[in-house]
Amino acid sequence: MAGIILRNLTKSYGKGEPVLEGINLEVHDQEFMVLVGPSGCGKSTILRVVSGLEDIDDGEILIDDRVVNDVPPRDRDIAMVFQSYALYPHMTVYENIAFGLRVRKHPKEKIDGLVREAADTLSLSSMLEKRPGQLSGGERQRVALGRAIVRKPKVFLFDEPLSNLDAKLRVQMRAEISALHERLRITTLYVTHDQVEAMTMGERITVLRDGLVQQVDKPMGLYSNPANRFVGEFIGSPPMNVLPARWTGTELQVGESRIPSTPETITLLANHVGREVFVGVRPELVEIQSEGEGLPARVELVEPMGGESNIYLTMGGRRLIARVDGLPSLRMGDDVRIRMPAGQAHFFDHETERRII
Amino acid sequence: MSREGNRLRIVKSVVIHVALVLFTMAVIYPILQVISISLRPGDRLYSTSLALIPDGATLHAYYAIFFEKPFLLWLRNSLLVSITVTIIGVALASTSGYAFARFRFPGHGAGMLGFLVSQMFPATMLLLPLFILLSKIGMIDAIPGLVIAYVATALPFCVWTMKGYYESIPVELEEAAMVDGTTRAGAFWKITLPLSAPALMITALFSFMTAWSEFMVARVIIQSQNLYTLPLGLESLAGTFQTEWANYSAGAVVVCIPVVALFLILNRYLVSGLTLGGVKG
Repeated sequence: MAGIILRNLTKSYGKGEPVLEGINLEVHDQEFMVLVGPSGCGKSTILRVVSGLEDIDDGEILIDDRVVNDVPPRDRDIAMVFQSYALYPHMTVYENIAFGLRVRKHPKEKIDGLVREAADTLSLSSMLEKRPGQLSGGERQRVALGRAIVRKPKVFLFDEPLSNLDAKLRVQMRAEISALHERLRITTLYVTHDQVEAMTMGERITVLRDGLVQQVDKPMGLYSNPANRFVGEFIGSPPMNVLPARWTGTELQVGESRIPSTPETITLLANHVGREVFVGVRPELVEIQSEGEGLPARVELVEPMGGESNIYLTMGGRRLIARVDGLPSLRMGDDVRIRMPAGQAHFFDHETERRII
Repeated sequence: MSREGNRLRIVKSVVIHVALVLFTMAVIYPILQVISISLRPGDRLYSTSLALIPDGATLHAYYAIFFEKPFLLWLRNSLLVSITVTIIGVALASTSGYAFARFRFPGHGAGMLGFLVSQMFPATMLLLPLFILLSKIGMIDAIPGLVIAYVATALPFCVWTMKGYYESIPVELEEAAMVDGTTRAGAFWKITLPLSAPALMITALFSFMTAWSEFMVARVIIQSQNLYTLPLGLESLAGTFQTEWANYSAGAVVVCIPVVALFLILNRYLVSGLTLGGVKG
């Protein structure tokens, strides 16, 4: 078992802008770490440099306390599951799973035992003689997992392994991968752009943007205490409502509307009197009333999700999302009043967009 | 569908089929005629009969070319040249095509363009420089000289074919193999090359045919009769005053057989799609 340490990792392609800039990250032994971020943030590049498929310009990569900068992929004792599965199409499922063991010249009997054990774990026993072309997407993904687990490597690397599966299968495979990790406890680095996947699977999550680490924390830590506006908006579905506001010292002025403050807010924003800030409110904290006190808003769209509904609103030209239980009796064009509890809001600096604490 | 539309479809189908039958006949008839002539007895060589199996059909011409002419020697020379060209051509094209497909290096674009440009000149234009080059290294009137000339002419097409095919194979397959424990060369050997069977077959077939049926270059490079390849040997059957057309045709038929056999054997490899199912989509 082993941890992964990345120190001041820098990487660029050709003479272009760096894809990774001074990345520092530690994945603990046996931990399930998720790298999440929008397209082009560098998450897959991190995975590729850890695997050794890409070289780095600067910095250090340590696996199990050993610097592996110049170690080829085959000697890093890692296994990788690719987005495209990357199964060898001319080999059977058995041969695919056995490939890594055969290359490493393990005895035939040992290979057979390990392959059958992995196939059993992943319910692939009945498909060992099939070729990848004869399998469904979910089965192919399981073969890719089988190929990874059969070698019992020090580190698992997953590169968006579920992004080609349909929604139902994705949920199922999500649970299977989590269960597999619980059982094997192999240090895992998992890349995804799907924040739901990150929140449900990761023991810790690293949020990336433009090649820079934004925050590393446990899922609820990211949700409750986002380090900056980007993390606040990226983590959570539907995303956090972020509105530009002015702190008068006693209340928040959002356009023509005013949000009353709380004693905590007054203390928190003591250094920002008269300045612009960003106020972030989670959709589930936005309360909607048909009349009475509150900020005036108009219903743009009601999106029923089953047990709850997303209400899209406009308030003074700005869009907001509220999440309410059940299906409310609201219709498009309805004028409503909304309340956003300042005590549970997040505040971000207007210039740096960092959380105000 | 309306009756008018149905009628139009039938007319269209009939016209297409008539055209196909005519073209097929135009292609097949000369071949059948050659076979027919090869079966004619010696006294009917100039017959104007259009019958495909002539009166008094005989296999004597085949006996004659194998046992009265040095046909077996020419066959041996041709096989030696063609198989060597095929082996060298496939070995060079499969490796250099891989380099061009997977790596970027100085001269990458110029190299590919150079290969393409070399294909734009007719072989006869390259004869003189080839002759000069080969004579400088003492390879005129030698089988290795002929092999070098054929490999040089076949290689550009083969490299382009292999490069194009490699590019259709997802690079993740090689990456997966490297993570699984192979070197890059191992990934090429164990994953990429087996998946490239259709392109390798096309390359092999093209290299073989380039050498097997070529006449002009061989005529210039080879002078000794004992080094003649089949096309040169066949041509030598045409005399100044008299040509034994039955022998000539029998030789032509025998020359065709290996190529046809190769096509039949390699047919199933020529269908691509081996990579289906390995990756998403």
